[in-house]
Amino acid sequence: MRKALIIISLIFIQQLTAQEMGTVLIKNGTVITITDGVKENTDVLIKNGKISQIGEGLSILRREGKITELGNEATAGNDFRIIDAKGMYVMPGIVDAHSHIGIDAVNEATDPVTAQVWVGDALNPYDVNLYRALAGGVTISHAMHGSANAIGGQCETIKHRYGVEDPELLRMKDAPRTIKFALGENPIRVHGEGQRIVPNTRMGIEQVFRTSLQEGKDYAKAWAAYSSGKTKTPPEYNLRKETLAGIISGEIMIHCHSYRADEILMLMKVLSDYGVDKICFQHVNEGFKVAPELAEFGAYASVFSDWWAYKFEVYYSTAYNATILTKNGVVTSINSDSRELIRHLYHEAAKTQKYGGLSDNEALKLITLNPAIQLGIDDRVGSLEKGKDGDVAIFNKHPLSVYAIPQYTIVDGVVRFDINEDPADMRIDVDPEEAVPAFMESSAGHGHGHGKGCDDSCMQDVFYYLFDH
Amino acid sequence: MRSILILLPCIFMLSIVSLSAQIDYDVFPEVSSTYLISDVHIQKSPTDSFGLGDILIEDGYIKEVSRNIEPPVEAYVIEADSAYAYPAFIAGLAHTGISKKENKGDKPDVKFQGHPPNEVVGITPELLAHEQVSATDESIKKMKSNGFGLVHVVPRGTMLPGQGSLMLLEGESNEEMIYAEKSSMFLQLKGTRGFYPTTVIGVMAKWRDLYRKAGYLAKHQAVTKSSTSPLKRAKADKALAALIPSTQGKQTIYMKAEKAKAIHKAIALKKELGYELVLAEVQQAGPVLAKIKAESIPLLISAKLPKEEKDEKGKKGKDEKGKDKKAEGKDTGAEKTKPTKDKKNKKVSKDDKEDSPEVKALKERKKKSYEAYVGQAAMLEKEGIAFGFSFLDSKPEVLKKSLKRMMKAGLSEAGALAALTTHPAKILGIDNKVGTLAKGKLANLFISDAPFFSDDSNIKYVFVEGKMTEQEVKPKKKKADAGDSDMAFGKRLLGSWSYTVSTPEGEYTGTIEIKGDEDDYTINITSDDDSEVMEAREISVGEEVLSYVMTVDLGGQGIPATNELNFDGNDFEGTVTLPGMGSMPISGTKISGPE
Repeated sequence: MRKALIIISLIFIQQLTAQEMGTVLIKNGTVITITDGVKENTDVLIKNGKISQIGEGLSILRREGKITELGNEATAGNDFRIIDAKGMYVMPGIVDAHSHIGIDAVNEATDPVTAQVWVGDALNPYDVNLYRALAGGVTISHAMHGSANAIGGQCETIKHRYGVEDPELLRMKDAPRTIKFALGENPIRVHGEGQRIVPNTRMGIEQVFRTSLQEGKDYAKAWAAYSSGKTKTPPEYNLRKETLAGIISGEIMIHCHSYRADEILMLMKVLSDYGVDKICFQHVNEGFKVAPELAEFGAYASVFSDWWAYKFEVYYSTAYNATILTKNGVVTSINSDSRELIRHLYHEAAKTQKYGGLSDNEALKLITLNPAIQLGIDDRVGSLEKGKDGDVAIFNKHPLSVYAIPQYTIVDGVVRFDINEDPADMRIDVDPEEAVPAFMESSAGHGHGHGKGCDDSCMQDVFYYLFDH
Repeated sequence: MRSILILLPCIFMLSIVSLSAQIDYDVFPEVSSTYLISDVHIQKSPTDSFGLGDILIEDGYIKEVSRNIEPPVEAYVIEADSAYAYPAFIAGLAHTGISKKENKGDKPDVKFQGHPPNEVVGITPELLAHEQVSATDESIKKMKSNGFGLVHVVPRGTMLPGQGSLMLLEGESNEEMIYAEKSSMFLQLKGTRGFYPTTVIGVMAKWRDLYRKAGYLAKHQAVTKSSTSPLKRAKADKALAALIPSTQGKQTIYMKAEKAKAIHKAIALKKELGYELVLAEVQQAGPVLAKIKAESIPLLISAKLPKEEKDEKGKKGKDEKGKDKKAEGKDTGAEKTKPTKDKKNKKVSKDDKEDSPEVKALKERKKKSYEAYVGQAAMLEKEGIAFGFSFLDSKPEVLKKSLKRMMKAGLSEAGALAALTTHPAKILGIDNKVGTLAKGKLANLFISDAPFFSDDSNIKYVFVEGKMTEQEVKPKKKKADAGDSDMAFGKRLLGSWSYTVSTPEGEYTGTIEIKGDEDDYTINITSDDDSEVMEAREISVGEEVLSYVMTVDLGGQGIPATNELNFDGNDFEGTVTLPGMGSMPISGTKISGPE
């Protein structure tokens, strides 16, 4: 336990240096690049947070105490680390396109349209689930607003730099802005049944989308007129409409909670009418029914491997969904939407080999490059390539093997998870008045929760709106 | 023996009144605004102990501080006889004089949750604090008797309760008390359950929206004013109009931000929107220190510290260890008459014997965390950050106790004094008028019969703007500090308590009824939202601690909620833990019960 404290205090020291970029040399692993095949007995060098070389016989030369260039001499010091990955598998850090970890608020469930709110305002670097995700090889997740509202809040793409205390350091800087939409039962239940307002039907949800997008369009027009000098007084400022205008302009990408095929088609029609051409459908359990249409639109799909039947609209599902979508040319990913599932996304990806027989690379793409594409960050992560971020997961066995256990997880060249130094208590912030033994599992419950009265984390924070009215 | 004599020179004669006599101003009206306090140890400023001298006060100001001042004929002379004079304390932020709003439990009649009227969600930036202050409110007396002379008062409320006023703790009416008004805008990241904004992300979005709206409103008004062509006027909006000064750098935003995460949020918003910011009720500045320094954000820290439980228990554990064993060997029957004590002792010995390495490590971390909280003030002093205190959530009575714990953790006496005088004066922009005992400053000071930080010191006189109030010194009851009465905790528990649970969806309120006696309690919990009564089970009573489990109904699912309540007199604080959903803070106050 003393070791734990030492490690924790090391973490504190680390974070004084703002955005940390590390240097790691991973030796002799089986390197799964995703974009350039699998390379046996190969080294990966991450220098100052970026992948600088992938090849054989790499080493680091230290000259006058400074890492200068590649050479033959290699002794690990405080400023860099060497990992012997002999017999291990080195793959890009796993990316989860749908989760709710690392944030303190999920649903502002008071209004069918809350485009103005942003979960990036409530990042929680103390959430130990970030560490648990690291222990599953996941380096990036898409922290999303919930699905209580037809148009929920803006989401945030975060890097799992567990150990930092500044919420700003969790953000993946310059990742594109995204926003949560939701179809189907959740918004109907919360607003239609809960408040007796629109939307009370699936038709109503379409109407909410159309009204809102029109608002955004009109708003942008009014401001354009003001900035060009056509109107002298500023239009009434409105953060919600400003955000909606950002969707129309393409600055903010939609990620839509969806299950049923008819609704998915409906939303694509609405978006076509408003000239919005980018969308990622989330859950999309009936995606297999409309895979060609999704591909034609250029829509993305982020699905569960085999999780369904937690409410009426989620019964018509199949474990072949990811395969069917992939084979139809839809950029598909497998997500967790759960702080438990996020720890074994590699298992979830492997299920597509049983159900549909995807190749190793196709299966691994579902949790690396494809979610990166869906989040608009594939130029920086999702594969092991020179110049990309030093985000790496190292497994003892092939990551699609049921025996695979993550050994190291590296973010920006910093080893954030090391199975050999994995103390019992990894909390950063401790309540000075907590009851000891602490109720450690208070935040560990997961979104599966079939028996817990909630369908997925998407509906966190909305009990009041569902049941008290 | 120290005796303080008051000399009251009237126009024709000198009368000498002894200290113990109460001055009845109805009978003996104030006839002079000149006072000479003589022979007093003068703490001119936190770092300047002048030693014995005299203070001459005239018309509300300090006329002179020196040695051997000749008493003017019209002066009341206070023979302080080696007592101690300090500049009166300044509270950087508090609700002094404003009573808590009654929670009637009525749901406001609002058509859409998403578009409630401003008042429903606590957006009332147009309200002025002094208009809500009652000059006769008990809290004013309390602040004053604890050495305070001036308080930066802000309204109570939710997100944007209103604007602050600097209030002198002296005056027949609230208006007489005003020293300055519109001195701040008070913001809290606090939503209203059931209406937009509810969650912290809702509140932050709403704040951005309001603030930017106010900025554009000002622009719009300026354009319409200067233009000769017929332009559409901006719609009048009292809330936005009240926010305009802050958008123009004319009013500072005071924001409540206790923990590190809230401080980060506050600073992020300040950087984004660009206003002047002061943080209040700060408890966990440590992890945010670099940012606080980089942005030079003034801090008002909380006088509230985590419960000392850990340390005390540790000590008691050691002290009682021997006793315990003796008691066990000799006579266990005697212990049985006191079930709560029995339980506690058992716990202590259990702790000693059976702590697993895991529990030990958890306790060690908790202790470290505790030390960081108690050591915050010392750390800030060491880092050269000038901080004051705010009292939004703590009572002035706890101040001295808290200060002593902070000093034990390394805060200097000068640092403690500065945090109550010169630093808040500077933060509030009135350091040229108050905060020290110097010529020309407002005569805000108090006289203590012993050095303030000594255990048995009593504040005897408080001067606010030169007006003297004599304080009643209550004879000290030993061991009475656990609560308002000497009654056993098990008895004090009985009665009804109000509670408030803070959840991400807003606050839930209701009543807890505790009946029975020390062996057999019945606890019924009623929510303000409905009339359903829930009965608690697994009730356990410890030393100022009550815990129980109740079943809450979440959409037809019964979920066990574990309540852990720590009592402090007529208040409690604690947590409600729901499996899989985390813990939420709960707090409450006694409504009725045995006195």
